Amino acid sequence: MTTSQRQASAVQAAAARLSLVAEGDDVLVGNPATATFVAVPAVGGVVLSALVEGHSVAEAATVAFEHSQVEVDVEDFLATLEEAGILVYEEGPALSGQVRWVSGVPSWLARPLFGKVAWFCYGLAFLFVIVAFAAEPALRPSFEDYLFVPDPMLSIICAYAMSVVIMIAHESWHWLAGRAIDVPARFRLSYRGIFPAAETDLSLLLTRPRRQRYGPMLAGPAFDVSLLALAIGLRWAYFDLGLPLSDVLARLLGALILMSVANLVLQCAVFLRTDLYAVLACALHCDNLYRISWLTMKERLLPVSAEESAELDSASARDRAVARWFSVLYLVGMFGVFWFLLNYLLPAAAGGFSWMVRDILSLSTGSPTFWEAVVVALLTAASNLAPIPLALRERRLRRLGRLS
Amino acid sequence: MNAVLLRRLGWWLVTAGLMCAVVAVAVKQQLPRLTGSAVGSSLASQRSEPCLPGTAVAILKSPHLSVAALRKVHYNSIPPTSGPHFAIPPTPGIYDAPLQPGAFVHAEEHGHVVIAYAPSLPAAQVSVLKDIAKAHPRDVLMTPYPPLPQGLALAAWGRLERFDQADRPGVERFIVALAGRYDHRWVGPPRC
Repeated sequence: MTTSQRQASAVQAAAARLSLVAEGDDVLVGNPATATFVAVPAVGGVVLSALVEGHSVAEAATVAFEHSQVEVDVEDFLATLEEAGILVYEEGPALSGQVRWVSGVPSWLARPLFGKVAWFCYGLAFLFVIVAFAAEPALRPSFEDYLFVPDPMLSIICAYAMSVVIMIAHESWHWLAGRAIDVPARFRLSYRGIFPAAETDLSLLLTRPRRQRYGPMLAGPAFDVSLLALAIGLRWAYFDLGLPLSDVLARLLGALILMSVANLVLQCAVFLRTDLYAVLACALHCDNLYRISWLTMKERLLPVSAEESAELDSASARDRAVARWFSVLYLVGMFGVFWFLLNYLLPAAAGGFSWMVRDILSLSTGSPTFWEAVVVALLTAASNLAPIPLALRERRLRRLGRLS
Repeated sequence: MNAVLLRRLGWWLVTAGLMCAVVAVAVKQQLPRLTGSAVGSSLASQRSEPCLPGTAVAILKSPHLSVAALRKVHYNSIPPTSGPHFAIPPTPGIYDAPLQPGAFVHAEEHGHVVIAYAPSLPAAQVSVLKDIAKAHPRDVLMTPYPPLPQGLALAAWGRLERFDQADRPGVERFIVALAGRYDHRWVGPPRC
């Protein structure tokens, strides 16, 4: 059915479901239900706004001409948006393959955590961390802080459990920040290079102006910094002011400091699609930098498929320009990850795994240590192997067009 | 050869160069570690250094062993000052439950001092030791040690000193003199 054959009210209703955000000379048009977005010239935004205001297709063309002195084939423009999956005439459930967007917490409840006062406090927490590390070297993290209970295997299990709790809290902070501006999110398991990772998909931030996107993007690191400042403050008071904490809690705080610092350092690896990558891409006015950078580097090294070539051609000029240098950063960063894998991850995993296997083979099932070894071996295997199925799953979803 | 192929060849050269560099660095760094993991730490010669607190204890071979294997190990001192241990060291701090020798020997190998006390040591003296441990948060592990019949012992890598009670100056002297003296090898020149 062509646009001219549709009722004007159906076209207007479909246009009203779209988000329009000014992006320099363009307008980012999106369908929040399917999380698909496309940048169009500003006059396209004028056309859609006119339709939303109740103008017919012919009237919208006139409004666009009066605004930009440009003849717009509105029917063709709307057909293109429909083909791209942006303009959807049937209102109903999300398209197949879409995961439920999570809301739940009302925005007024989340807003105080991400207001100006809150961000001032996050900034103060960051300053406190810097000052504390400079003033008291004993507070700085050491890899030894990882094992904080007497039983070494129980320590490893506790550290795994703590890292999962911290990861959930980190992602929840992203989600809450999204809720504060009425942007829903969805959670999924993903990977960052060789590391498994939880991910809060905030694609619908693209329905908001860029300056509103930074809060939800930085919310996770803000949580990490706050947790770090709290742990440092308590540990400092325990050492120097005699704060009556239990000794095991004091050591646990050391582990918390180590994990929080590791999380924040990892955030700086923007080539691993971290939160700071999202901030960087937003600040550079890019829409799909990671994918375009990957394709750019692939095109430099190997022949690309016709589909990939078309994807590169349809990328925004900004994405392509930034991808020229970001793809080099990506390549070098990935070799850094490879170096980390060879130097630390594989030896640690192999050493730990052989340690556990020797205990499993030589202890009876009646020994608690036997079961601790089983749990640690499973955790070690899962955390090291998880990125493989996760990467294969994302590749399959991307081929099905269900992941951008 | 056309321009696209030439450009692609250039990128291949850059990528291959990076790959070689990463593998070369990894091999250089990992070979000693892998060897060490297979045969244990190399046996460092003892430094007697009579001017230091405590007495020297012969240094044992110190491979990484599993929990099960470590149950059969016999050390040459109470508490041990070297020998087989777990692959991962415990964090410095105050432990109310006994640390296993396999754990704290690895801490000694990293240059930390272990304050091991008999469970019968009076609470007031344990409190004095805790204050000292808190003043050296990165250097000291403090743990009850049931094999000690009485008093306390300070252990560093290849060095041991016993006290009948918590002698604050003596304990402080041992920590200051011996913390950081060894970290998988002797650190710095002899101290005497």
